[in-house]
Amino acid sequence: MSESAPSCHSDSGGVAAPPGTPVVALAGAPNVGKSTLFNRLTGARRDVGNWPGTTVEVGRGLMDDGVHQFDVIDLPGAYSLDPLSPDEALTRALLVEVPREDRPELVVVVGDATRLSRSLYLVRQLRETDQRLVLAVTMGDIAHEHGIDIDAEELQRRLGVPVAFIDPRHRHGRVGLLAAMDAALAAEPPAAIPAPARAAGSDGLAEADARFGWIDDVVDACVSRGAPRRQRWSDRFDRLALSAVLGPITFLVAMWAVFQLTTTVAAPLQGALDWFFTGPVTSLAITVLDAVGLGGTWVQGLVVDGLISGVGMLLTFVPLMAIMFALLALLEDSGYLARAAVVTDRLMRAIGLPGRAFLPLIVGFGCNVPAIAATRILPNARHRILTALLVPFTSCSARLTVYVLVASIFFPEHAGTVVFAMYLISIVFVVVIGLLLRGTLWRTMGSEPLVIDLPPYQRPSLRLTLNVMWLRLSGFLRTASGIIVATVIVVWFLQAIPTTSGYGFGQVPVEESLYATTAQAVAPVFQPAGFGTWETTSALMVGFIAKEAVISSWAQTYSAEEPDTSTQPGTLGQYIKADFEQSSGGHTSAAVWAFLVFLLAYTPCVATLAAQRREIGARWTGFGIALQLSVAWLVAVAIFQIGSRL
Amino acid sequence: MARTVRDLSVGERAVLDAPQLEPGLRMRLAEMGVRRGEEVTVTQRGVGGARILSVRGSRIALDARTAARLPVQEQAT
Repeated sequence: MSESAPSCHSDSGGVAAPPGTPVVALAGAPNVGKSTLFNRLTGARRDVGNWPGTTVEVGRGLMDDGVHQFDVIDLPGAYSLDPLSPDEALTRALLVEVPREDRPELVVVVGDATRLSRSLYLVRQLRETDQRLVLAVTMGDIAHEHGIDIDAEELQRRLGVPVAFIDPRHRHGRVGLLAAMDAALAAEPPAAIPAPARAAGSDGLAEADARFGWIDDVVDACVSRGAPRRQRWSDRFDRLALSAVLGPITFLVAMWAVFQLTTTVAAPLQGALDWFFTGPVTSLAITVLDAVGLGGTWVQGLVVDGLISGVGMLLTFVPLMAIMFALLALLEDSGYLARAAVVTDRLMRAIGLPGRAFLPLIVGFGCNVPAIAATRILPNARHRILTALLVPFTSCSARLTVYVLVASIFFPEHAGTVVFAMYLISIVFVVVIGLLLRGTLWRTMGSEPLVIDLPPYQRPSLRLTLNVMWLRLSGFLRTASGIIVATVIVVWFLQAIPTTSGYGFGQVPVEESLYATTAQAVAPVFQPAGFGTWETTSALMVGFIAKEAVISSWAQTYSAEEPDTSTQPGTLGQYIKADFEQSSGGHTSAAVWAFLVFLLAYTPCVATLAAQRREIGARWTGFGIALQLSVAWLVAVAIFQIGSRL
Repeated sequence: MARTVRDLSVGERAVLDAPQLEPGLRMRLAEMGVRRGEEVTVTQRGVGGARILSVRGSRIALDARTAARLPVQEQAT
């Protein structure tokens, strides 16, 4: 199948279903519980990824309870079949534009009982075709609490399709839904309702109004609205969460909590995992290798410095990512995320970004990796790409350790101010690069007006949160593992190959390895920035893997003891100082500032790249690398050239 | 000058007239229930001038500029 003719029956990844299995597509507006239903139906046998040729995320899985077998597709959220967004365009392409035989056997429109009329537009548009349909109504419990009662039989009669009430939050109604699906599949396809007459030169609004009129009639006949039993708790909380003064404060408190949880709470867990891999796992590996006679050979280097440290690095991200994904699910599920977008809209719009981009950018100051993953809260793909390209410019905590060391070597009296300045520079980078990208690449990206639906607050479900967390975490591990482990092994390999005779493979000091030769070859690039020595270059090259590694690389290169605390630079500090004095021709301060800014702006770490590849694809990740390296180099050179002439 | 949603005070009910917006946005709002003939209430003026509308039982947040493009019908009170 070509990209221009997508088909639900094509092999678009996902879990293989036996041929002939009925294809069931889940459709519906965002936030109606569609993906929850999908997870419930398919259990573990599902796969979530971009539909081929699009950036639209589609889930696909096999439902098999022994009686029924369905190949279930979770279509992206769509209010209608009018292609106003890529999500809606794909939904339209798969349900309407393809030949009859390529359409799904059954479409389950998932609708929210608290706002049924909104879900019915899609039903109405699909009823204008002969598609077999089922309407699955969610959130019946919340609707009931709000005094809304729905007459299911009347609804079924008026719509002409089976209606099933489900409440995926509490696992009710699955049986009813399956019965409705069976009924729809067994029956003849429903007779199509005639589409509203299209007036010549009409922009479609008259047809839309005709459909909404039909929907109003259906809703008036089937939905009774008792007076709300109590003042809605949701409105009361919104008076705080959206107010001009307390709203931003509430938001900052929420962001502070996210930031704390992804840094302070995750740090000891990361530390423990790191200890586990550098301690017991490494000792065990060495013991085993000794026992089989490979101790001290290059095999030990490969296993310990390559494999174990690569896998260990990957796994230290697991607690951090788990916390981040759980928090995201919590914020989304509770309904607060929509409020946060309202609160930040004005400020973010001033720098040309949507309100929701605030969260990933804040998280980025803790760690870029979960921040990139958090860009998925942005509904618009271009906003997502732009934000994922900006996140690496937020200065993460790994970079902080290097700032502190360098600042206390060169500016011991003002180290705090220097570090603070780095954070300010980081914000300037995000704003300026954001404006530059919008002014060039995405000139057509309009500043969309704020129109956002505020779902009622609800108690997040633990099961759902854990489910979403696991789904996203395993996705991250699948994509990231290869990149991270491979890069760590490549660096180990370069460090193991001797360039002078007298050393064996894997037995060579770093300065005699192919790695040092490479660093020497690269070093002249940094000459105009004032730090073109191979020692500094080598540290920056390792920093491509992780910024934490910069300090240990310096220590290794100078064969100096790594300082116990980075504020007591000791002998390492003297070596670094001498190095910068020499490379900058006496303009040490200018070179140090150039170095710090380069360190801030260039590719943060290989895990960030892995996360970027997962969220925005390899092409944009490559663009991001080029963008960061060129921005970092240009600004560093500018700083040194100007600074050394002052 | 016709009154718009932006001019409504908090708690005031009004019936919407045809939105003065480009078709895509107008459609999106119509799907959310914000369309000609619907009764709306501004439940809150939020941060940055955003208006929170109550329409058919759901809550929609709009920025002030969009609210100013939503005229309301004059009512005989």
